[in-house]
Amino acid sequence: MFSFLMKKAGIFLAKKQGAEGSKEKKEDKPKRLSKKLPENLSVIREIMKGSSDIIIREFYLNLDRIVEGALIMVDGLTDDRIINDNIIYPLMHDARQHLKKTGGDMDIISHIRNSLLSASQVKEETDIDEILNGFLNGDVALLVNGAAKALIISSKGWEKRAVNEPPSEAVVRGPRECFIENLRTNTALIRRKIRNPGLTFESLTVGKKTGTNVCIAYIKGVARQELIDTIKKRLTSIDTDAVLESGYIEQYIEDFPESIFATVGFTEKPDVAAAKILEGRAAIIVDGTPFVLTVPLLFVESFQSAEDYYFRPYFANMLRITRVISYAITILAPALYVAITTFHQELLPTSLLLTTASAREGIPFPAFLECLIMLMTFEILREAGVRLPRPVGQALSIVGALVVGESAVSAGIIGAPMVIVVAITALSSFVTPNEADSAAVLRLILLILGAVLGGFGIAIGLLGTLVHLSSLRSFGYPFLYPIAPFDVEDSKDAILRAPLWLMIKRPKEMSTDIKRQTINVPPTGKDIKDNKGELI
Amino acid sequence: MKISVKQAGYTAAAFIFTSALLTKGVYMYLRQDSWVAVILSFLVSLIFVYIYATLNKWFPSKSLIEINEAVFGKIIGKIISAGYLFYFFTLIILNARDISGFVGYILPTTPYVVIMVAFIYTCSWAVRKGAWNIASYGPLIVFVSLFVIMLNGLFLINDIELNRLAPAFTFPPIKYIAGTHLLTALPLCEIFVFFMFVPYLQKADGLGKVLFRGLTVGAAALLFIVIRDIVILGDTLLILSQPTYSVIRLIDVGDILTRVEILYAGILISLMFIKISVLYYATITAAARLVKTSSHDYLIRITGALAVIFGLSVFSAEYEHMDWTNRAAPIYSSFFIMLLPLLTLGTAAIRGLNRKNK
Amino acid sequence: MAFVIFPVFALMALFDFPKLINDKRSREIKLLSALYIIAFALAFMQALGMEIPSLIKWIRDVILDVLKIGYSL
Repeated sequence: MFSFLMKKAGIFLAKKQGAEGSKEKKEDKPKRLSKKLPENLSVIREIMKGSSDIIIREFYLNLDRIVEGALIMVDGLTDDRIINDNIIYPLMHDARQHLKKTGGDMDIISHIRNSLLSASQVKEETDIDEILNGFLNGDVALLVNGAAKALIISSKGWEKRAVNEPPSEAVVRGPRECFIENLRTNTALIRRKIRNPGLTFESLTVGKKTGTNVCIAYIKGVARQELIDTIKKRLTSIDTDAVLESGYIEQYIEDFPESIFATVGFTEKPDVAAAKILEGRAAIIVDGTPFVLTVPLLFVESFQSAEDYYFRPYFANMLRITRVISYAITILAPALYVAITTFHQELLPTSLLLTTASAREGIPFPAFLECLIMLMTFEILREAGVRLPRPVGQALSIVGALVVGESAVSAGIIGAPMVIVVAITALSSFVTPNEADSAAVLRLILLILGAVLGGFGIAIGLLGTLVHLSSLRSFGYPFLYPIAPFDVEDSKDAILRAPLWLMIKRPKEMSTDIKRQTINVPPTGKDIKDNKGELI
Repeated sequence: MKISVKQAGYTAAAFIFTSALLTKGVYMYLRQDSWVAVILSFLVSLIFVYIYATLNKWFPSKSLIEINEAVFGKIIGKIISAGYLFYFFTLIILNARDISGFVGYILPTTPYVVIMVAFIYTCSWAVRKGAWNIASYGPLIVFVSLFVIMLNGLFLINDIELNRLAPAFTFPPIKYIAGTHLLTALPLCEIFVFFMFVPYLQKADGLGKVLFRGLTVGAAALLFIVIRDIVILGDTLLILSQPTYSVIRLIDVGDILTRVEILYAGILISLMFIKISVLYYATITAAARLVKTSSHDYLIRITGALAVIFGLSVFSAEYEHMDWTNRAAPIYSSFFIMLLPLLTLGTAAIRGLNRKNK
Repeated sequence: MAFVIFPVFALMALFDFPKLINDKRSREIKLLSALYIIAFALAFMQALGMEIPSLIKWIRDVILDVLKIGYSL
């Protein structure tokens, strides 16, 4: 139903937008540089009027004649040392000697680029938009009088976070690196994990006003070309002003925006992103956010974490089963409690029934309303806990626990079993953080169904969820694979995990290069010899 | 996307042991010898599966409606197809009535219309998402149900007394024939409805494999259930109105594991959900192909409404339900499942249609 | 309680008909309208408490009483 409403709203608004016509002004700014430096500088000053952080440094190049030049940069985005030592110094001091060596006829810009600048990346541009893009990205633009070309020289150096432990995906075992907001550092972190020439980073820019750099990371030959083409097509068709975080991109490229389940995954850790790239998926790295998107996503990935693969299979499988059970608890516990106390009291053992009945004795609300109040209180506590300043944090947790837990129960507003149920629900929802958003909505839907139709309602709700999940596709991949179109081979890493040396093939159809290792039965120790040279 | 043969096969298995979980018609004629009836009807059903598979091989990738038209000509073919449509629709309302009766037992004060609307609405949602999806989570539900059934059997090992199977083979032969006929017509050959899935299968002539796999798995599960019920309940088999439900209620492992019938109710609802979704899909595609429209989406809601309307009024008393199931249902089913396909096969052979298609 | 039938059927029609009308498929519109009218009439009668004819009873009567081929226990 939501897809129906959303489509209708979308069609209505699109028609309105088409009727109004495009009201964008066509600005008459010049597109290309001219040969005269003062003209170029006045155009750029006009465009960037009012910003005090744009620096235009005019100087003379030390050639055989006086040639004016200008550097345009943004204060705070550039590294002053590179500009002073590698750009201004050679141009001011070394230009004359070099010119003597090469003769006087060469194009100044090529000469500067090829012989004078000791910078690692230099680009030539003639388009004013590209020049603006260049220095707004942290590079410095060099304009020379008499040349209609400009040089964009890399000199990025702004404040960035250190590569620390990820705050949202802490692990017990495994690397403690985390992506940061800088695109180049993130690509470098992935490059350090996969030292293979096939690893490709394709760059694009999305967002008309933000100009956010986006990179698609994949391994050529392992990832399917159709997947990469689809991603590129969807990214280039994003037509919006602001793209501030990868969440924006996720909501524009996902297959089923009306579903409560996310079909695009995200991660903050380079080893997780590298593992997904090695399986044949693609990672989308967005400048300005440490959260990297991974497509396609399968439902079973929400129950997997990086350290499952670093631990041995037995413990890892126990952890996975715990996660599945926690997810089941977090969506079912309130609904089951309400259904059982309202409709199916005979299901409780007698002693539990008596204590529950006595606990609910003086409560004025029906179980459903009690549950709603408690869930809302929990959401309020959680939001408050995320946003409050650190000194107040301790006090608030005590206040929250005391107020809600003890006082509400003894005041007779809610019953003690309800507090336990909601506490367990809350704790379980943190075990699978990737599905916390869908779990919150699903919990509410199942609660309403359980309150209306009891156990039957919950059964129908779960069946409806199953129908919905199996109809989702993530970039063409069935979402519940390998559970719903059941596949024996790919179940080696669905819920339970087979030992690493048995995971010979990549998931089917996720890659064109299926085989990833040969069977490698672990050494059994039967080749250890003792001092005399005999087998132990 | 095309449905794979294996998935459709396991989904077909759901049809067979679902009805055993719900009714006691299986035990009507041959009380402690019902397991013989299961084995015999499995063998008889193999013959009918062979007939369906042959029809499918002669007319690959054509669904039932098109086969009827090809064999009998336009007018008679349309009448026979309308008959099949009516049969599928009555199957929907009977099964919907069955599950609503069961759920009404769990939720006593809820009016039947609410239960039926909720159930049929969920099934209509499943149908809207398409046959491929039904065939993808069908096997999942069937495996989980089989696991739960085995587990329940394991918990009851204490109460088994094998001599409840005796005396064996003491009934007059006519009863064996009656029991076999009942089992063949009702649970086992309802998988005939998968004929409507033929245009969507990966292999155009794979219906035989689908039905064979479904039949084998379903019959094995049915055998397990029947033997378990006989050796545990013994003489009380026919006194209780729902033998399998009563068997599950007996589970009491160390005073802790009681009330396991919740699991049983859960798998029953899931299995009936699959059965009614498949029947619903078959009805809608049959209607769409009969009037030759290209898509069948617009018929989903109205068929659901009609199913609820007729499902509520199908039986006015429980006695009528039993009377129908035991006396008239086998004849009604065998007309559509056994007689008409045989007739179709015979007519196709006489008219030489199998030679043309080779 | 019978007036609940009106909004339910109206809602169903609201979802079903616009697409067919946009595509101008008159055969399907006629068929669907006929089915809607029948269903609405039957539902209304049922909601008012009148008994609608049950299909199964007719079949049962044909099989057992007319043709006399039913089982007898």
